[in-house]
Amino acid sequence: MNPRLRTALVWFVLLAVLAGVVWLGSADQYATRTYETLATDVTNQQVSAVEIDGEDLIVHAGAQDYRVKDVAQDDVLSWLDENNVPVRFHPSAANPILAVLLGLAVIGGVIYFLRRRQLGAGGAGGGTTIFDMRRSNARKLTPGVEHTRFADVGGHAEAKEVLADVVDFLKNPARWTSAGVRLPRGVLLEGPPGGGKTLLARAVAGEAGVPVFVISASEFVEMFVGVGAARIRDLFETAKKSAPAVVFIDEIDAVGRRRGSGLGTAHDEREQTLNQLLVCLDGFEPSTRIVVIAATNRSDVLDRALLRPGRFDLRLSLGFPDLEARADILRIHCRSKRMEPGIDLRAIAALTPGVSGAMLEHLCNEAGIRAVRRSRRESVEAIIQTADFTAAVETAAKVERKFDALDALFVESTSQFTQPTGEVYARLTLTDGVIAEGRVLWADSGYVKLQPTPSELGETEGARLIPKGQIRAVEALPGTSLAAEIRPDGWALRRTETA
Amino acid sequence: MDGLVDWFCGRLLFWIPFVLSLSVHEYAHALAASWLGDTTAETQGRLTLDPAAHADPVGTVLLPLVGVPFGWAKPVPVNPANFRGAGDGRLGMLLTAAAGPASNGLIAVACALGLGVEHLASPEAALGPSGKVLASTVLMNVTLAMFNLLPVPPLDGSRVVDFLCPDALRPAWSWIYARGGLGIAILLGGSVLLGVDLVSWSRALGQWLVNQALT
Ligand SMILES: Nc1ncnc2c1ncn2[C@@H]1O[C@H](COP(=O)(O)OP(=O)(O)OP(=O)(O)O)[C@@H](O)[C@H]1O
Ligand SMILES: [Mg+2]
Repeated sequence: MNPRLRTALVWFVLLAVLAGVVWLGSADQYATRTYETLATDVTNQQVSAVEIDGEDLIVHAGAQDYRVKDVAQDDVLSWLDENNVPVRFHPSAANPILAVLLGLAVIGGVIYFLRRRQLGAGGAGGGTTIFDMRRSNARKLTPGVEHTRFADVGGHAEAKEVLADVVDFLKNPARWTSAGVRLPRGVLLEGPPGGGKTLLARAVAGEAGVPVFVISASEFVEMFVGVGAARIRDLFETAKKSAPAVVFIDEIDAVGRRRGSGLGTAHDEREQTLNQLLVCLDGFEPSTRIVVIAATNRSDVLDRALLRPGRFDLRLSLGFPDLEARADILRIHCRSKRMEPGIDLRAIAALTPGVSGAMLEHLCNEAGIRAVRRSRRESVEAIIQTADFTAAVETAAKVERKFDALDALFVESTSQFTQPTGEVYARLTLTDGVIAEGRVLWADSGYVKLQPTPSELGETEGARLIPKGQIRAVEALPGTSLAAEIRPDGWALRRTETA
Repeated sequence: MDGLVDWFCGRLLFWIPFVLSLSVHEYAHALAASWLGDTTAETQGRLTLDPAAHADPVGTVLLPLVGVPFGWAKPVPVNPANFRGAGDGRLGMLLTAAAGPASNGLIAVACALGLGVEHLASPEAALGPSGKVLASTVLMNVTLAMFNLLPVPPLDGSRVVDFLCPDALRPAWSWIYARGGLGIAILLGGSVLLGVDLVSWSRALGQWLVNQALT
């Protein structure tokens, strides 16, 4: 439903109920009179009796009984007493137990309604209800749709060689089964972000020409116990039906974290999901032609049961590309671009040590953008020159530096406990103007622990715990092994506020 | 059975205006933030008057419906870093925070005017149920505005203090501010233990508005 219409409807219904209740209240069997009427009637000795009904008084006077609102107070009652008007309580049929039951039923209903709505809002399509939550929403890609090939992946020669076996197993299983060998049915790709894990998995599916089911493990993570497990079961059942197939679970650390840490339902849910995944990985016979490929950049946190032989027993580590691989990747991403003849991509690759595949792709695109800009300025054809690349590398390096060491600590540690890999010395300016300097021991979502630098006099202080919310600005100090100088925006560090 | 229905209708007379007022309050925060350039609330679906988007199961439904004259809605997320214009976003945060109580003030005045008109039309009716609902809505909204302006984190009033706080007092303030929910816990717990009525003066102000409308 259109959200505006929905809002209008909710308001309309609530106001209509309100009006209805008000109207019911007005349709009182007693007419309402003012206190002055009561006063005159009492002085004229017209009142035979008065009943207390909550805050109101119901007056039995001569011809007509009436109600006076909000006057059942001590002074009024004693005044009535002085005038010899009998006062009693209005018989009321209130049944507190029933009332509470009804109240609870209504509250339960409202909470259920809210819950359902939240789920709906959370689902990708917006219309998920509790009933179809159990279906995994793996996107099924059919053969022919996946165009990625091994040739599109630069470097990673060893990994490609091993995965070529997997592809062959999917295409010609007879060769392998008749030889009586068991091929790994689980492949775990691990490596830093942007290393080409997702790309390589897609290439396997593309090479084998089989359907591939892609899902991000975070989609298994749900609030309700059992939902994630049901989705895993659903995913594997669908995949089995269309075997041979590739199941690709991206960012598997979302469910594959080591069990037994933490408390509460969130953990029960994750454990169940993980258990189900383990069961499903064991579940199909060796002849079922399904290969599960998983990717993660935190293989250190994975549950050991996932990694044991028979499950994800083939672990391929996709590190940052070396010089040759970088040149390869540049070549791949420049294939469709017009380049000045004689441009030496290998020399450009030499300028970018320690850079990820994703960054190289970005550089090619940047260089292309620069070429187009120049072509517009000078109205010539857009042809990439070496200078475009060097300029792109320089800009990127400037940006990249900002994101280095401290970023890893302050931004990526938003939920996890993180320890710097190298030495990190920082100067933190706090909201109250105090400056703290020292070596960063660790950071997590809320705090940074700092070992203050010993002062000139040689006295050492104990380590300080600094709430991130109090940090205005961060600057890296000399001695930091990864970054020369970083000045992130102080506000970027503030957690989201509420109002 | 009659008493039950009566009781429940009585609750609804309080609850419906309460829920709608809270929705307007949260919507006002979201609207102010989005005017100032931060769409965090909008992307989370909070830029709406729909009560379901703002309702908190306990604070908006459970407590007020069983008769506790107190409640809250889900806070609206704001990222001050997104505010347009110079400065460090504290002014924007002040405006965004103030928008909520201000909206309750507007509702109170509007309902008081409505009550006044009803009183002109028929003094008797203004004393009846419809008048009573209007009057209690005035009181409720004055109380909501005043209570939220208490300078205790995480109430809206604390953002005002955050903006006005002189640099000399900032260390002390940051200390309090960083402790968030503790302040409100002490405030509420303390007032209950000591029997202090936190909102008596706002009730007085609301009553004055109502009386103004009735004359
Ligand atoms: N080896 C490579 N060869 C060619 N292109 C690459 C390579 N590695 C990365 N890229 C480029 O970088 C992009 C991002 O890579 P990919 O999505 O595979 O990273 P990832 O390892 O899955 O990262 P994450 O861990 O963040 O998911 C790819 O779409 C591709 O354009
Ligand atoms: Mg990926």
